[in-house]
Order: sequence, then C-alpha cells, then structure tokens
Amino acid sequence: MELRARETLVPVLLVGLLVVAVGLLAFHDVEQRVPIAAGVLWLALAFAAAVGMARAFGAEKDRGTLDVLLGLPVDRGHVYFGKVAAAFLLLLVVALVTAVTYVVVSGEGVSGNLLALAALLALGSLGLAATSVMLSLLATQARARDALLPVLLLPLLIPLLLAGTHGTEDVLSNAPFAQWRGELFLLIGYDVAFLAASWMLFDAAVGE
Amino acid sequence: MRGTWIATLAIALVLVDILLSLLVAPEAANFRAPLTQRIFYYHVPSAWVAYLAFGVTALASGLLLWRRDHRWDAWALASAEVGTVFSVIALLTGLVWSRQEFIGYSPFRDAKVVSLVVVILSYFAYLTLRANLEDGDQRARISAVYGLLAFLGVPLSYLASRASLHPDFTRPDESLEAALGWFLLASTLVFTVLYAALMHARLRIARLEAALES
Amino acid sequence: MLPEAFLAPPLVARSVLVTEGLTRAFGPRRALDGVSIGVPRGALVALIGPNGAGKSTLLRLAAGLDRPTSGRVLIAGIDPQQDGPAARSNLSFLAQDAGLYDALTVRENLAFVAQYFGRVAEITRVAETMGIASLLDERAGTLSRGERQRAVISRAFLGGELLLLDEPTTALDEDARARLLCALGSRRGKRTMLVATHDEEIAKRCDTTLHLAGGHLV
Repeated sequence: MELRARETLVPVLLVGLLVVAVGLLAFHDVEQRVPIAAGVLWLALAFAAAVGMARAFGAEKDRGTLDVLLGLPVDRGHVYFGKVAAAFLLLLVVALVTAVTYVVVSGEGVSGNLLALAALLALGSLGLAATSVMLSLLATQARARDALLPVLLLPLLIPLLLAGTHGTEDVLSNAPFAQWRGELFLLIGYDVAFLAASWMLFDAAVGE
Repeated sequence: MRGTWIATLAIALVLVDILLSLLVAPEAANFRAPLTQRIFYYHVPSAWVAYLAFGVTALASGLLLWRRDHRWDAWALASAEVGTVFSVIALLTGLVWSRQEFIGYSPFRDAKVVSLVVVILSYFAYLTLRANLEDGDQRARISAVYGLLAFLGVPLSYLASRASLHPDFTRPDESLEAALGWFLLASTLVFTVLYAALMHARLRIARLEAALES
Repeated sequence: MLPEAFLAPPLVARSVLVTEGLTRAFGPRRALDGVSIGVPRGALVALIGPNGAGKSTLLRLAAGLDRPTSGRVLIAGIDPQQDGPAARSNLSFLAQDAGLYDALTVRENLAFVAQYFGRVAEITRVAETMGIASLLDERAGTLSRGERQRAVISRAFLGGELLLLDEPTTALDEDARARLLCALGSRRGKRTMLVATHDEEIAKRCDTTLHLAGGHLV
C-alpha cells in the first residue's frame, strides 16, 4: 500500500530538484569552508522539504484524492507512513544531488568520513520527511496553507538542523566519533520521537 | 470576588518584587555587572513561566485529544497567549543581561537561548495556525496536535545545542550566594502567581466569548 | 424504513447504515441537527434537498471523514470513531469534487482502491458498465471532465458495500447518466446505496427518498 502512495510523488521529484538547483546557485560564490558546506547542504534539504514535501497533502486535497486515501479501510497511520516513505526517498535523492553538485561546483576535494555523513543525511532526511508530511496535513486544512507551512515547520526543524549541521561539520573534518556521537543520537531520537508522535496523532489531525 | 482577589495579589506582589529587587536585594559580588544583574530576577522567572505555560498548553492539548473534550481548548489558547508574553520578556532580559555579563557572548551557541527561541517560534506558529482555522472543533483539534508536536521539539532543541560540545554559557550557578538564591526563588513564585492571575482573566474572557457565541 | 423512529436492535442489525441523533455544528450554525436514519441492506435511497441542506455533511459523517458534534454513526454496527478500518471496509464514498491521480493510468487509479476490497477482478466489468473500458490504460490526466466523472464513479463501485454518492450526476452527459442509472438499478438488492442528488430520474428509481432541509429531515 505504501508503494502506491509513493508512485504519486513522482512528479514532485522535479519540483524538488528545482529547489536544489536554486539553493545551490544562491550559495556558490561563498568562500569554500567546511561549515559553509554543511550549512548549504542542510539548508537545501530543509528548503526541499518545506517547499516540495509540504505539498504532500495539499496536492492530494486539491486533486480530490485526499478523501479517497482517508476512505481506505486501513489504519490511517499507514497513509502517513506511506507518504513519509515517499518523502524520505525523495529527500535522500535531493541530499545526494546537493552533495555531489556542491563538490563539483566548489571544486573542493571530498574529505572526511563519508559513511558517517551518509548516515547523518539519511537520518536528517527521515526527520524532515516525518515532520513536513505531518505538518502538511495540518496546514492543508487551514487557510493560507502554503504560507503557513514554513511557519509551522521552522520551530520543529531547529533541533534537526542544529544537530545535522554540527554533526556534518565534525564529520567532514574527520573528528573522532565521540565528538559527533551526540548529534547522531539526537537525530535518531528526533526521528523516533516525531515518527511515533505523528503516527499516533495522525488520526486526530484528520477530519474537516 | 475570587477574580479580583488573585489579580490584586498578583499586582501587589509584582510591585513589591520590583521594589525589593532594585533596593533591597543583596549585591551580587560574583557578577561582573552587579547592577544589571538585577535583571536576573526578571529573566529567570520569566523563562520559567514561559516553559511552564508551554507545558500547560501541551497538557491541555493532550487532554483535549485524549478525552475528546473541547473545553480544554480555552486553556491551551490562554496559556499560549500568556506564555508568549513571558517568553519574549525572558528573551529580551536574558540578552541584555548576558551582553553585560559575559565577554564575547554569542547567543546562538547558548542552549538555553536556542530552546527559548524555539518556544517563542512555536507559540507564534501555534497562534498563527489558530488564526487560520475557522471551524471551532477543527481548530481545537488541529492546534492541539501541533501544540503537542511543538512541545516535543523543545527538549530536543536544548539537547541539540548542548550535544555539539560547543562552549555553553550557562549561568554560574555554583557562585550564586544563598541570599540571592532565595530572592530568585521568591521572584519565581511571584511570577508564577502573575501567570495564574493572567490565566484566570484570560479564561474568564474565553468563557464569556463562548457564551456569546451560543 | 422510518427515518424518524428510534431504531430497535433487530432493525439495527438489518441496516447497513444507522445514524442516531447526528449533529454537526460549525460554530453557531448547525449543518445537521439531530438526524436519525436507518438504511437497510440492499436499499437504494435518494437524499434530496436544497443546497446547504446538509446532504454532503451527512454523507461525509457517514463515511467517517468528519466527526459529529454529537450523536453517532454506525456502519454495519461499527462506529467509525471506534474502529475506523473496520467501518471503512464496508463503505465507498464519492465526494462531489472527487479526483484522480493524473500521473497514473485509469486502471491504476481504479486498482488503487479495488485492491483493498478484493475487487480487482471487477475493474474491467465496471469500466465497461460506465463506458470507459477503452480509457483504462490512458493516463488519468488526459481525460475530459465527463470521462473523469465516469472514472470516479467506477472507482466508487469498486469500494465497500455501502455506496455513499454525493451528486454523482454532475458533469455527466446523457449516455453516462443512463449508464449510471442502469448501474444503480442493477445493483439494488445486492449493494446498499445512499445518493445525494438533485436528479429526478435517480429519485424515481429509488426505494425511498429522504428529504433534508436546513439540517433536519422533513
């Protein structure tokens, strides 16, 4: 069932890539330094989430398919996870593209613990997916939905972005595990907390 | 009447608190700027109330959803409004004090500042969300969900700032003299009473509004 | 079927849809006020009333897409607020502004719902009934308005037993309308259908009509 929800996000992929491109272009003339790299990466990711993913439920409602999704004889939490799975994959792609493009554009060599970086990005993408999809459902039912979503999203994303950027800085400078261990655990905790909370609250958030 | 009693008490206590903190409170020997340090007596209690109010909003939201009782909505909203005021006061007083107290202070590195900012942003988002929802039932439910999610983000923000092992400008608790500590506690109590009074007033208004609507 | 009567247990068992004192208030305005109805299995019921009478609200509440301010809904004895998935497995709701996934083919759109109700094998037959069999492998985004409406109606037939249709005849041409009427007629006795409509023709074919105005049954 999750696979089906995923299929519907294919067109949104293009929007996501567009955001990435814009995000990168905006920063390309800044000095090349590790903290900047980390910042750019996560900022682009956050943008993609806020703009692209946020439409997750907005689009459904506009198209008239939201009722169909909610009318399915499954636990509504499954609908949530389906959307999160799709958003997660999308954000992973965005992260990958951003990272690669940044390296190419900035001409800097790739250094640091890449595996750890991938882990951080994955966890961050998951957290972004979890919160932006959930908030998309909330915002969709309100007026000024497109402007509202970033406002709602920002406070919730701060811990994620902090942990993500600091962790990425450490990882790219080849710092020892002990130093970025905290960020890693925080991201894990964040993901678990928000996925669980959203799943439980999802049904309550539905209904006109 | 109970309402006016609590309000008068609150105002009286606050006035006393202001007078005492400016005149009678012991000189803070261990602080760099002893005079500005007095702001401390407003900063800490304000921050405390800001977090307390957020907790109340979250609790009311949870009760609303769990019990499916929309009467808790008034509490959630009232606490959010009152809490916003206190959190802004806390942030401003905190920044003023820190600027004086610490050298090379960078608010962005301070876990307490970050979590307070998150609280303020959350309040703002919560209130904006409510402003954009018309149907009362739906508004109560959806803002309750957001209230709970936002509340989850606060401890995570605090931990996220500390986890980075960057320098952290916490208050020098260990050097707090006993007399100062007592005064701080007293101020905190005063502010809590003020919070209760404001809540009471705000809830009364909410009840009147509800009566008008039906 | 006596809409105003309080329903005794045996009647409840026979009814697919029961509402008890259903009320939905939007602030001071009551879109539905104390509506109690019972729809027995296999019946075809028309819900008639002027715009704003509460027809859509009633259907949405029955479908579990909205929560009542007071009162309750029972689908085959199950309260959607208590056990959503179980209640929804007996339903199929067609909204007034129902849509399709443009990026998917019509068949995929239909299958998306049908698979949850074990009706995937019926897709072709239903599509033929509604006259869109030739469009099954087209992307939904290419359909005209009339074709889309036929498609969403088809999708509705591939859902649960109780059909809740909200103004299904909008955007339908004569041919499609005739097909829908035929489909409704042929399923009487086999499926239970509650249709909100302005269309006289549908009302004529129904077992009973319910009249709604200002949130009340009249």
